[in-house]
Amino acid sequence: MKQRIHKLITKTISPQSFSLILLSCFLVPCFMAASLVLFHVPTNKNQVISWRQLDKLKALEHPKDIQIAILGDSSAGNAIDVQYFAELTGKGTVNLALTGSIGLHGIILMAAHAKKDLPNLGYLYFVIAPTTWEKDLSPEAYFLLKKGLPKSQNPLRGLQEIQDAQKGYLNWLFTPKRLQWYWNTIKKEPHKRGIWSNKADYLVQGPQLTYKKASNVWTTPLHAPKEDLSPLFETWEKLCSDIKCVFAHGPIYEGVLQSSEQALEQIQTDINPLLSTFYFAENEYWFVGYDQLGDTRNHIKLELKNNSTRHYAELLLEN
Amino acid sequence: MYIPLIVGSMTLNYIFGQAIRLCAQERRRAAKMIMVSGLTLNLGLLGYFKYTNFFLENLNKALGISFEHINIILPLAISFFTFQQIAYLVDCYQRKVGRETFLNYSLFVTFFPQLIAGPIVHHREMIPQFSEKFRSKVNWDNIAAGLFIFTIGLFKKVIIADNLAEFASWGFDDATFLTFTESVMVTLSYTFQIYFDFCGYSDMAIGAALFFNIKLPSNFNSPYKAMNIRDFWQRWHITLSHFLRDYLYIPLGGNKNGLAIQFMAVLITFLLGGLWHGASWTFIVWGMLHGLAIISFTLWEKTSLRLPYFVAWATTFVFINITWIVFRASDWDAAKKIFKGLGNVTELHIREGTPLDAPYILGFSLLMLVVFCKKLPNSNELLETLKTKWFWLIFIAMLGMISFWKIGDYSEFLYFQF
Repeated sequence: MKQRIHKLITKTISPQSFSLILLSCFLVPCFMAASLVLFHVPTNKNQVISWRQLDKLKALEHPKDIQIAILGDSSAGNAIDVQYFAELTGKGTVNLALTGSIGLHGIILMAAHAKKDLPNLGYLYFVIAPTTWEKDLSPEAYFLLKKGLPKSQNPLRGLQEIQDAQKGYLNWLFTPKRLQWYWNTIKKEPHKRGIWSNKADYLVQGPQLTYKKASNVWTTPLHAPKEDLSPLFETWEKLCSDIKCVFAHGPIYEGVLQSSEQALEQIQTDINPLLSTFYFAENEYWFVGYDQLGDTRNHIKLELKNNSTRHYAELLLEN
Repeated sequence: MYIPLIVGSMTLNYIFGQAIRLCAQERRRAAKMIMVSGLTLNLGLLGYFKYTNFFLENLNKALGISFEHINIILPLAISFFTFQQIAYLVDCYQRKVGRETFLNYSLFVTFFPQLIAGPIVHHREMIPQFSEKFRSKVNWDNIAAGLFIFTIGLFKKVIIADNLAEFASWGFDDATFLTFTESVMVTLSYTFQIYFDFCGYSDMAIGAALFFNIKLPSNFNSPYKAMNIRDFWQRWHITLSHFLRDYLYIPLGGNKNGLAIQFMAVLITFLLGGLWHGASWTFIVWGMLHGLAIISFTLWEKTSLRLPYFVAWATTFVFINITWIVFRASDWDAAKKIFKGLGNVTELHIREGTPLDAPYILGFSLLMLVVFCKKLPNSNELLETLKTKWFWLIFIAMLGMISFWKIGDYSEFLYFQF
């Protein structure tokens, strides 16, 4: 047997067969990954969340009743309980928060979807944690652009980032890592299918995070935004020209707040131009401690979730 | 703006080259003037795009004035195509260049596998290949060889360099202080990150070129096997070393005019070689340290003393390792932090919660990398003896698939910034 294996692996093959077999080993997974995405099988958590939120928006039973759309990153998704928020404000509310990795562009595109699909919308309530300001336009955000948003209503039209994202989307599409994520998350661990359960208002993200790891990850200092954000702000301001936009900082973790003074100052300076269009419900950063994080499925404890929902509802009601 | 820049630079250099060639025989003075103009143009462009803000910053500090920074984006590949074209102009003047078509010249400058991060190819190695008819036919031997080395390069970049980048970036950029063991691990991580990143790119460039039946020069020859600092520079970024030797060190006097001239030439060559990597004092100091090491080694060679094999290798490796700290640090504070950590010999622990918090796995991996780099043949040596056997097919397919599965986020090659 050993001899046969040895004979087989030391056997010479033609360079043509060698090349073609190797090429197929590399290209087949790429095309399989692309097929998954093209057949609308979510292949990463950002995509799961963005598709879920978009589907939720399209499937609303009474879109005319919705007056407030909450937009932002996971700080909005996790910190605001939409039913409680609607009770407190007395206004129909939908939470369309995405994830920070989708970036500001993704959040703006989601706001455009909300404006398009909700006829009586009165408020776009942006809750964005400072951690999101350093993120670029992600390929998943590019998908939000392609999914049912007419060109005329695309707030990001003309931005250079869109062209970059297009290339990023193609790279992302053909990345075999998509298959790996699909396999690990959906096939091998079926209990994780709940991440796109229709019952959940916001979706579970991320693996099990222990407090030890949390204290490591969430003390990493923030970086100030890399790009000049003024072209993006112009599009944002246009979006808010005929609707009331409210902005509040999302909570960040204690360690990040302590280690990121410079970046936070820079973010504040960068977003000051938005003051002319936005109402700043809260212009100060706030944080949560590690002891408040709670279970891993929702990132935060129910008690904290209720408190933060009240906090954001009061900010809106006060103004 | 940047496409016109490279097209303009290429066209002008071609015109200068042809003019020098025509004058080189009988009108040497005119040829020299054209060459000097060409060199000034190339170095002027490189200087403007790469060093203007560095110059202004230092002028501000020296004179206490406040010139504002100019918003200049460094054009991709400018450091590489400038050097290639300088070599072409000098060789035209030295009558080493025959008549070339503009098409072949353009392909030599812009041939995509090597354009953005080298190897810094020489026209003598490239242009003759473009005219050879047999290279325009599909050659499965070359495609197989190209896939072989391309995949090894991809693995080096995606699996080794990108994983080590996490530790190096944390240590250099994010950590506020480091213990001794952390500093050693961070420094070693960067030592291997830069090697596998750049060598991975070079392998991929060589592989991609082979798909088109073009053979690029080898850029690395197991540099961490070097037994002394000169040996290291004969193995690391070989094409840059050759360029600096032929177009800077030898014209400055080389080793034929006495020790004083030789040492001056070495020092200038390394200072400029350091500056070529980036507009920062850290790169200049890195170059200076290597220059001084070469000078010290030259003096050492004149004695009859010789170090034992292992001591010679370890001294070279440790020196290279330490100088990478200066090279990688974004500023002096970052470098000081690592050096301070290396001085903390009483603090041998690794703190919990840091990215290095798996010391045995990381330590073992780094040790294995030292052994691999010292003992195993490099990718070019493997390529030379490659036979398309099932063993290699299975091995390369595994490397490729592991790498493909790991490709996720965009991760730039380190040498793109130079």
